[in-house]
Amino acid sequence: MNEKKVKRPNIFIMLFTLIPFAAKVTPYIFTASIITHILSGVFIGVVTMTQQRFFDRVTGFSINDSTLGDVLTALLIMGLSYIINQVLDGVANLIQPILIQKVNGKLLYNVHTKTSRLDPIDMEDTKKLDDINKAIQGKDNAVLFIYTTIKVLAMYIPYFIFMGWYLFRLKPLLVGAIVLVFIPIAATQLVRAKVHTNAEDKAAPVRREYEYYESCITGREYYKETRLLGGFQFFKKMYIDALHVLQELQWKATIKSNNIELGMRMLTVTGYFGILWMLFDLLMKQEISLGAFAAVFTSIRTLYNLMENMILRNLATMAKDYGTIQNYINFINLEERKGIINEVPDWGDIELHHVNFTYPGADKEAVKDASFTLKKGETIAIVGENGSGKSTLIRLLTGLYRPSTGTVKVNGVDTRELTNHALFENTSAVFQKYQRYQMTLEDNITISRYSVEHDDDELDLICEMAGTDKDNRTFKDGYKTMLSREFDGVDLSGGQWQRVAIARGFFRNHNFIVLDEPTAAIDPYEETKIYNRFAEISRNKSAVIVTHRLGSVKLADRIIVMKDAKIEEIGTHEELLKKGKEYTRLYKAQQQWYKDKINPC
Amino acid sequence: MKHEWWVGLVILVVCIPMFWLAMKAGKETYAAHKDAQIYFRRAAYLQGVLLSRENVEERSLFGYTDELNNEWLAKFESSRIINQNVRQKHFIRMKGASLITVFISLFIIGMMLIPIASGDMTIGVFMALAVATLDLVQDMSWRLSRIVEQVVNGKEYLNDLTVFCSLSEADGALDLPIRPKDFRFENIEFINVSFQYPNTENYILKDFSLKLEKNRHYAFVGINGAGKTTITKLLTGMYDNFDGEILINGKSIREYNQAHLKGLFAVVYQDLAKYYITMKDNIALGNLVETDNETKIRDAANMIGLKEVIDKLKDGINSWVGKIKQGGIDLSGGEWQRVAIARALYNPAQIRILDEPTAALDPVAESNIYELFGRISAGKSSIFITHRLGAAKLADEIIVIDEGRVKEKGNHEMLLKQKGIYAEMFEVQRSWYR
Repeated sequence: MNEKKVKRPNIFIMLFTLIPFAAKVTPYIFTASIITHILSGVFIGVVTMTQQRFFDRVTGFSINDSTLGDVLTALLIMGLSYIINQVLDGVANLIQPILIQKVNGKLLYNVHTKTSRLDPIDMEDTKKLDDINKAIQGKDNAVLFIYTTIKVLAMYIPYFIFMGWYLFRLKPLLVGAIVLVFIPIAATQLVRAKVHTNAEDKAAPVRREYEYYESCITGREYYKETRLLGGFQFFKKMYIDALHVLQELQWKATIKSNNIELGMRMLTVTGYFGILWMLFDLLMKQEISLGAFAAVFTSIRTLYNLMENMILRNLATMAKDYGTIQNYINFINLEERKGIINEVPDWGDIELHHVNFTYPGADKEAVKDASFTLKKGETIAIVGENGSGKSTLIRLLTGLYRPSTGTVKVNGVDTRELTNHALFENTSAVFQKYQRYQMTLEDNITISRYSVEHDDDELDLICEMAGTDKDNRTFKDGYKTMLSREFDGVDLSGGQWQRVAIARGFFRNHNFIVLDEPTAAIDPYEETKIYNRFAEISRNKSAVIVTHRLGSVKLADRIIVMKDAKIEEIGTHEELLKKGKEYTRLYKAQQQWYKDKINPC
Repeated sequence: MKHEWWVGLVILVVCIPMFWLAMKAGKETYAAHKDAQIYFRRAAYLQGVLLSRENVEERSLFGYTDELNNEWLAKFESSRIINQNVRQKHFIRMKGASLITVFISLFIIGMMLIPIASGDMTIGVFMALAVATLDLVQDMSWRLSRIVEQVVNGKEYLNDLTVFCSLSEADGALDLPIRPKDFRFENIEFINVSFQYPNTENYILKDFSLKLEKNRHYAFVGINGAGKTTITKLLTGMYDNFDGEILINGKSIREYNQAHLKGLFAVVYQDLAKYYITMKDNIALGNLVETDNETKIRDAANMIGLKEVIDKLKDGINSWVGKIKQGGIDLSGGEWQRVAIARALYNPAQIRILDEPTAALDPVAESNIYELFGRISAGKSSIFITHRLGAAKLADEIIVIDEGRVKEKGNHEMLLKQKGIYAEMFEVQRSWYR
């Protein structure tokens, strides 16, 4: 995948991407939210107006210029505006989180979907993993961005416009004061954003690191070993060190931006006093009424509070992290694995032609110049030492990985041209790193074919083949048994898990299946049974078994021996034994332990 | 001014129910948050499946993202709705309270018109008091309820934290292993040990009795789920809620502290931990008292055939393995296993336990490990848990475990002659190599 230049954050792109997105997710709530915010913003201003009116009446009343009736009417109108203001404020703040959470859900939903569309090889790339991590961080901030934008555009801005109009009517000079307060703070934020974008790029890998060390102490898969080794202090130190690095990075960025802010805030405060002086001056010159002075004086505080809220809280928080939003947008726009052919190719031979494969970041090939054909209906076993490239070879065969050079063809069609759907529709596998889903036994098996209905008879059949017995005492609720301690279910032993994984592989409709060391944790009784059943069900299917139990490869029509990323030998069990090379060496090594009399000890 | 003392009183009286409401809302929010947490945790798990690197193969091949994503969204929504409902209730109450405050403010302001009319109060004082009273509306609705809610939230969280902190701790769980110089391991004896995992009904071990002597090599064999691995968990002090008695050198295992037990056993687990740290540290973890002995670390690595793997890495033994650090290289299953064995070799513990250590190894490496078994265990006592019966032959004594009990015991020849479970299992396995 060619490296495109990463786009730098651009606030307008975000605005025009995210706001329409929010509107699309839930149009009614979005509209309701906007309307209530606008009304709520305007009514804060209306309160000031009714207050002025009331104070003017009271002033009149004290010098017997207006009647008690006038005063009480003004009081009631002011009270009413307060009540409406409160109700609007409540409704706006109630609708907002619905919108925000719905958008949040949808943004995450898109991250999940996007992840599934990436090329599986991307998951071997630390940089791409960082991208996912950063995208999720960015997602949180995208949510914040939408929240803030709505608050600012729909509530604060209408309020400021309304107040601007009100102040202008009182005295045009007063409007200039608002602008003077606003400008220095706004400038601060632009500077701030840059500082934090740089910091976030540096922080993501460190964050992943320190989260990992924490899991080394408390994580389920590490807990018992770390405890027995007494490794707590060891990992705590690594955890703290990484945390310090992270804090250092964040601290520096925070100090830098706060220093800028401090200077700017001084200017703002100066502006505030300026307005006060202006009001005082106007009152003394009797250009505004006493009521207007009191109402504006009160509202300047509100004005100042809201401005500070908007810029120093809302916009600043956003500015601090808005750099990461671009990470989300970049991630969503990452190149996907595409194919041009979505039609499932007919079942046929799988052909490898001078295939080379190198992992990202590695300098050596994991598979070198591999050529062979898996014939339709054939069973091939792949054997070889650890690290000789067996697992990579099967990932190429299934189309999970596409070759760096050379071609893999499924019934004559290049795997590069096929979509995921076309590639995987009739392929199944039991991987070496099979998953232990914290789900029910049923879901654990049927997840390989989740979109298609099934019945219990089908499950029974598959479970029997894989040697999983739902009536075993472990599965207290049969197929509905939750296989996870964390979710109030049961835990299985390694061997039991492996059989569930095998059942999962068998359950998926397939005419090509891969078993990558499927029986490592299974006792010999079961192992034999599973292999025999496998032979039975794959009789009319293409199959590849990767195994270290050379005894079991006799099931295969042909055997591929891998050594140092290359295909060393191909042939039947007998042929290869006759050759007396690599395969013989491996076979003899294992066979000796099952001859009765020889005891090499 | 002395006429206005009642204003303060009214304000105070208004505040009390507001406090009470805010407290109640805080508690409810926290409780709802905990309810929502049930869905949230499930959603978080599903999210892991949808995003994690470990899942990529099955996720791509099985193509379950759409279905699982919808399941995730449903859980996410459930958790959201719970929170939203509480928020709604809370808002109605809070805004109800602030409306009452509006009415009371209006009443107070109205009453203050009397001293204005009589000239007892200046217009300046009136305005200042009126503004202050009206400010109360905003303070009551947002600030007060937010602050009280935070306090209650914090308090409820602290309650949970207190419960967590008061969970019983195993003394020494965090300590480094200790190995007293004068302590010589003699024997381990299980006397009628029965064990079931907490909150489960089935006994994993039932009246299990066995005696293990020093400097002997034992093989534990049996079908999956027979309880082999549980035995190591009991020995290393992971669980002490068993019935019966486990004696080490005649003294109950419960009387040994954790640090001592840790120092006594080196275990290679079936589901071994893959530490994404440097290769050197991975091995050095075996003896945290002496982490800098590079010669010994290299010896351990060489013994298990890790030399080639290490030589291939960019920075040799100081290379980062796993995908956490930039440029870290992941190892294969078999390589990880050898790292774990090297760690155990570097561990000076007197008893070594290998739990199915060869499952992911290629035949040559597996065979090498069997041959190494003698060397690995030289001068040590060892327990080898395996279903590769070939390896069991090497043991001084084979213990066949079935249904939580010792079913057969003896060396390879004896057990073959017995024609029991062991003989049958061996026959099945041997048939592959005929």
